[in-house]
Order: sequence, then C-alpha cells, then structure tokens
Amino acid sequence: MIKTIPLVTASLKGFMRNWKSVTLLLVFPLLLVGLVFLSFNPNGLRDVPVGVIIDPYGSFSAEQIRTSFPYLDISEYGRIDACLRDLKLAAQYACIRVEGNDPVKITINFDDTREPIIWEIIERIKTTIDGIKRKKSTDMTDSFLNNLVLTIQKVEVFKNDLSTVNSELDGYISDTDETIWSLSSSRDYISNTLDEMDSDVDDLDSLHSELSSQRRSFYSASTSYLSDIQSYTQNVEVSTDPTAIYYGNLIDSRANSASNTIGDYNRDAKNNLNRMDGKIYDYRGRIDEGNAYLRGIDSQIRKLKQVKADFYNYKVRVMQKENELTAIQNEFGGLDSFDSSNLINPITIENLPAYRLLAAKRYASETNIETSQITQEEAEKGFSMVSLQTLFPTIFFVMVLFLSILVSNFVCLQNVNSPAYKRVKLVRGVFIHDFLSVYISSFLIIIIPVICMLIVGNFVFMIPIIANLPCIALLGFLLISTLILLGAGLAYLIKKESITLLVTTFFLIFLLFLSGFLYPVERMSNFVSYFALNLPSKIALTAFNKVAFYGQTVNNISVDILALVIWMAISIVAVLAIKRFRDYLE
Amino acid sequence: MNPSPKHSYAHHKPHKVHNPEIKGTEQKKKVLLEVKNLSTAHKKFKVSHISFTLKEGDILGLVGRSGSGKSTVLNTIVGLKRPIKGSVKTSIKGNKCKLDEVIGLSPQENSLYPFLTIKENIKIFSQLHKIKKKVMEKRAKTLLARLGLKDSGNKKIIQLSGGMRKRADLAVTLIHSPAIIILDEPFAGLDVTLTKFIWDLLKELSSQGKIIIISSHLLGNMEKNCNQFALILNGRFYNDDALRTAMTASLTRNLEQYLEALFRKDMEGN
Repeated sequence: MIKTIPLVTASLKGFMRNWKSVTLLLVFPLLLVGLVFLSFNPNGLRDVPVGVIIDPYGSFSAEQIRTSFPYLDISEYGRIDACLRDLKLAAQYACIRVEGNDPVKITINFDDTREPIIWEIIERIKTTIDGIKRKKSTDMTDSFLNNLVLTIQKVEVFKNDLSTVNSELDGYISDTDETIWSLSSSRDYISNTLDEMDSDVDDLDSLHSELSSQRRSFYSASTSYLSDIQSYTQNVEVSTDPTAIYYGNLIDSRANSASNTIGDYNRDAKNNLNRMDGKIYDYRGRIDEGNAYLRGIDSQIRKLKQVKADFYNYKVRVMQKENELTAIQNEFGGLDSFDSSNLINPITIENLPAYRLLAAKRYASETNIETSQITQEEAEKGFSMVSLQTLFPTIFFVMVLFLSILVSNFVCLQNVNSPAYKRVKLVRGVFIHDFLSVYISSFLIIIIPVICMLIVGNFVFMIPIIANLPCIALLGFLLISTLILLGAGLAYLIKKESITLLVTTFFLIFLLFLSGFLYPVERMSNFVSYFALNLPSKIALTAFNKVAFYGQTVNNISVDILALVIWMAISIVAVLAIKRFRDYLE
Repeated sequence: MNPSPKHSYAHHKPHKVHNPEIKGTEQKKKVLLEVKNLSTAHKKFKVSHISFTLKEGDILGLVGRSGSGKSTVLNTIVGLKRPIKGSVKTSIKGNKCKLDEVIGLSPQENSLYPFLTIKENIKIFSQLHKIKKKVMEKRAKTLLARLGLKDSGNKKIIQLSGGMRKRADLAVTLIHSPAIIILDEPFAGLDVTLTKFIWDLLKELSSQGKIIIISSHLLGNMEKNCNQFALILNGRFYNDDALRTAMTASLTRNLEQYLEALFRKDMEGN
C-alpha cells in the first residue's frame, strides 16, 4: 500500500484540481441525481387535462364525473369531434364520452402517442370506472337481494298455505274415506237386503207357484168332486125317494153352492195369486231397482275412490311443491346474509403488494396509529411514496452504473494518458499499485455521489437504508467495484480517450438494457434473460430491493453476494490481464 | 558511414563535485551499464545493433536525426519498451541489480502530474521510490534550490513555463538519486542559460559517479560535455567506438561538423 497511497493521492488531487473532471463527473451527476429526484412528485400523477362529453339524458352529470375523477382536469365538450381536435393539438390526453342510462356506455379516446403516461391515466380511469361499476352493481345486487329475500319470505307464506292445503286434503281424504266406508256399508246392507228380498221373492214365487198349483189341484179336485157329487145327486133325483130327492136336491144345491163358492174361492185365490204374482213382480222390479241403486252406489264409491286418489295425487303434488319451496328456501334462504359485493365478485382477486403493506405498517408504527386509521389522503400519499421508493433503486443503480463506469474510465484514462505515467511505470513493482490506485481513486470519487443518493433515499424517500447499511454497503461496494473494474478494463484495453468514451457509451447502453432498466428482463428471450439476470447490476438491484424493502439479512442475500464476489473476482483477473497485455504490447 | 579507428574528439573526463549538498547525498558507486546487441522497433522503424557499455561518471550523448528512434532506444534501455532482442544489464559494485532500481528517466515530454505542484510531484515519486520523508525533504530542498525552483515548489506543473517544467522534471528524476540518469531531449525549448545550468548539474552528477545518457540536438554542448557518443542512423545504432572510427575516416574536425555533414548527406539521399 505504500506505493498505492501516493498514486491514489496523485490521482485524486489530479481529479479534484481539474475543474472539468469535477464538473463532469461529480457536479453534473449530483445535479442530475438532484434533478431526477426533484422531478418525482410525491403526490403522484399531477392533474392531466381530459375532455368529457356528457349525454344530457344519461345518468352522469359533469359534476359527478368531476367528483369521480378528482385527478383529472376535466373540460366539458358538447361533441366528441371538438374534444378529439383538442386531443390532436395535445391539449387533452383523452376524451371520455359518457352515454346512455342503464347500461351506461363509457368510451375513452386517448392519445396513444403519450406512452407510457397515458396508460397510467387510462389505468386510473379504468380503476375509477371499475369502482363506479362495482358500486352500481352492488346497489343493484342489494336491491335484487332485498327483493329476493321478500320473495323467499313469500315462499314461506306459500309453503304455509300449501301446508294448510295439505292438511285440508288430509281432511278431505279422511271424509271421503268415511263416505266411501259409509256408502260401502250401506251398499253391503242394501245388497244383503236385496239378496234377502230376492230370496224371499223367490220363496214367494215358489210358494205362489205351489199355491197356484194347489189352487188348480184343489179347484180341479173340488169341481171334480162336486161334479161327482152332482152326478150322484142327479142319480138321486131320479130316484123316488123324496128324502133322497130332497137330499139329493139339497146336496145338489149345496154342491152347486160349494161349486160356486169354490169357484169364487178359486177366482179369489186366482186373483190373490195374480196379485201376489204382481207383487212378486213388483218386488222383483224393486230388487232390480235396488240393484241398479247398488250399481249407482258402486259407481259413486268408485268415483269417491277416484276422488280420494285424486286427493292423494293432489297431496303428493302439494307435498312436492312444498318440498320444492323448501328446496328454494334452502337454496336462497342464506341470501339475506349474502354480501352483495360477494355476489358481483364471486371470485375476488385481492392484490396485496407485500412491500406496500409493510410500508403502511411501518408508517403506522412510526406515527403511532392503527393501520386501519390511515386516512385516504395519507394512504394515497403513501402509495405515491411507495411508488417512488420502488423506483428509487432503479434510478440509483442506473446512476451507479453510469458513474462507476464513467468515473473509472476517466480516472483510468487520466492515469494511463498522464505525462507522469511513463515515470510511474519505471518504478519497480508498481504494476499492481497502479491498478489499485485507479480502483481506489475511482471508488473514492464515486462514493461521494453514491452516499448523497443513499442519504436522499433514506431521508427523502424514507427507504430504510441506514437501518440496513451493512448489507447495502456490502452490495454497493461489490457492485461499484465490479463496475469500476469493467470501466477500467475498457480504458486499459482501448487507452485512447475518444474511442474509449465511445465504446463505453455503447457498453453502458448494453448494460442498461440487459440490466432491465430500459426493458424488463422478464420479457427477454430465455438465453438473454438468463444472461441479464446474472449481470452484476441486476443482481445488486434485486438484492438491494430484498434488503431495503423487506429487511432481509446477509444470510438471505448470500447467493447474490457470492455472485457479485465472483463477478468482482473475474473482473479483477480480466482487468489485470488486460493491463498486463497492454504493457506487454508496449 | 565507414568506421575508422583513428579519430578523437573532445574527451570528457568525470568532473569534480561542485555542489557539496549534492555530493553529500550520494557516495560514489562503481556502476556499470552494459547494453548488448539490443534491437527495438517502433511502428515503422527499427533500430538494431545497440551495444555499449558505460561505467560510473560516463556521459553518453545519443544523437540522431529527428525521428531516428532516439526516444525509442532510450525507452527500450529503461525498460518502458520491450526489446526485440538483446539485453540491458546493470551492476553496482559488481553486484547485478535490476535496472528499475537504479534508473532515473526524464522523458522528452514533461512527465509529471500536471495538476500537482512540484513539491507534490517530488513527494509522490519519493514515496514510490520508498525514500524516507526526511531524506526526501532534504533532497527536494537541495534540488529545488539547485534547479532554481526554490520559490516555485508550490506551483502546479500546468502553471509553470516550459523551462521550469523541464527543471521540475529533472528534480523529480533525480529525487531518488538514480545511479543511471537518462535524459531525453532535456534542453528542448530551453534558453542558453538554462541549458548551461543543466549541463553544470549533469557534470556534477557525473562526477559523483552517475552514468548519464542524454539525447539532444545541441551537438556543440554534447561534444563539449559528453565523454561517449552514440549515433542512430538509418535504423542502426553506432556506439562510441564506431563513431570515433567513422569520424577518423571522414577527417572531420569535430563531431558537430561530422554529424552535420552526415545528416545533410542522409537528407539529400532521402
């Protein structure tokens, strides 16, 4: 080090006394850093002019639009053409046309030549409209849910009514059953009676036949006997015996009387039998009528049974309806406890930015307030600050990249092109000291703006840099060292100032691109992204984010540190080899 | 040029020490510089046959036309340039030593840190040569006084005139008291007084036993003060012996006339 220190001193003094180098590599970068950081608006996106065309018959008024989009500087237009004309004159960023009334149609014409800021505006408008949509949907869903709950309550009433109908049907079925039973009993009784009557009539009929036969036999026998008697009497009359004749005449008279009486009796019997026959006939007719009644009763019983079956069917259907209503109740019964926002968003995507939450907690703990008590205004400011915080590392590392490579380039070129270089080279064993002097001088020069940036990051952007200083310092040291070595390597290799600076510019663009500062590494092709992800600036940026935002320790970024150490080691070897090669060529 | 062994020019003898301060800083050492069959090249031209031997107190004047390769040869001798072949050996009191341990070079162009003061330059190169602070301060004081820079020590190099820069350069070259001093065009742009001033200093150093190699166009002074000469002509190095022989053969009265004639002839030939 005894030889390194004077060389570093010479290099630093040479740098600091050269106002051009100080201006170019210290003042300008610091001014640039200051300007970049000053350009950040902690309040987020400033009001941007946007034209609005309101449908006079629509749901939204210009005032409502103004209230909904407080971050827009809204001008009202009567026609879209006028707004688009202003848009083309760069007076408006977008034209929002609000038309219709349930559904409301919002059309946004935007100036896509103003990327990427226009996307932020569109995104914010979209977010606001999503919010309005959500509110409207929630209101509609609330109304729908209320109606549905009322309907479900009506369903309960219907169900109760059906239950009553069911009970009544049970009563009807029971009554019908009773009636059927009663009718069946009566029918059976009548049937039995008719059967008995039928049997009696049959008995009567046989008795009638028997009586009729007996009458005819009796009459025939009687008349025969009387005829005989009369014939006998005639024989008597022919006799002379008066007594006989008398008696004969008397007998004959009596026989005639008997015959007449028998004839009368026979007629009467015949008449009675005929009447009896008529009665039997009547009875039979009645029996037939009774049977006809029985058939009518049977028919009625069948009808009643059908009615009962119908009642059962009705009951089954009523029960089915009841069950359906119960199912509807079960299905929609929980709707009164439903959150309308859940209904309109059955799948909820909740984006939880890990660092933002952490930052909010930290802010809450620093200000001794509950996270939930953070006001909307504070939250929005916080979000803007968090956005700036997440932007800071990228800008910081871009600056580190530029400064490290340019300063080391400059210092190295100043060294190798210095008039004193020839004399220095004559000093024994100065090779490594010369290299170290370039590295140390560059490092000491770069560290000034880097510290300034870190202070700004800590105190202005509220990133906990000082709290994680050991890790960040280590990362910074490794990255700056590697970049210094790369810059010095280029300078040693090319040596000529103008060409070196030209090549360095390309090299810087190359590094800027591959470090993902200009184009996301995630969008690069597999091979390039693999290469880019392993570049020192990208490794350091990732590790810095882990440490500064999530408070990771050295252990958690050991792989990143190892990768940077490897980069640094490779760079040292490469630079020494280049320097040796250049010396050899001379 | 046809070398001839029978010619002699003003021969320089080692001078006596005039300055007791300088004398006091260094004891006389037996130094030897031996360059053997060295060849070097720069861009389009090549210089070969560089062979000579110098011992303590020798002042070698290296002459040649502009662009003949004097600086290239000097840079090769001191090790700033890699030779194509050949060797450069040094020894002190018979012990071999590395050239960079004993050499002091004052290149043609100013070779100091332009934004640093003379004293700062002296300090830095003293530290590089591991000279103790007290010794450095004493030597710096002596050198600055001797070179007429006593009052300019705190001036930055860029603020100095050409002559002062040359002297400042010489001061830095001599700060580590090198046994072999190589000066590439030390008088370029200097007036007569300053030239004489530097010659006096060089003669003093020579008298202390230091080997001095000096390239210059001021042939008159060279002839007067150097005890050996070397010429580079058309890519070839002619050492003192060869030059003497040639001069003898050409019947020229002195070196200046000989070289003037030689260069004119060479120029006309080209």
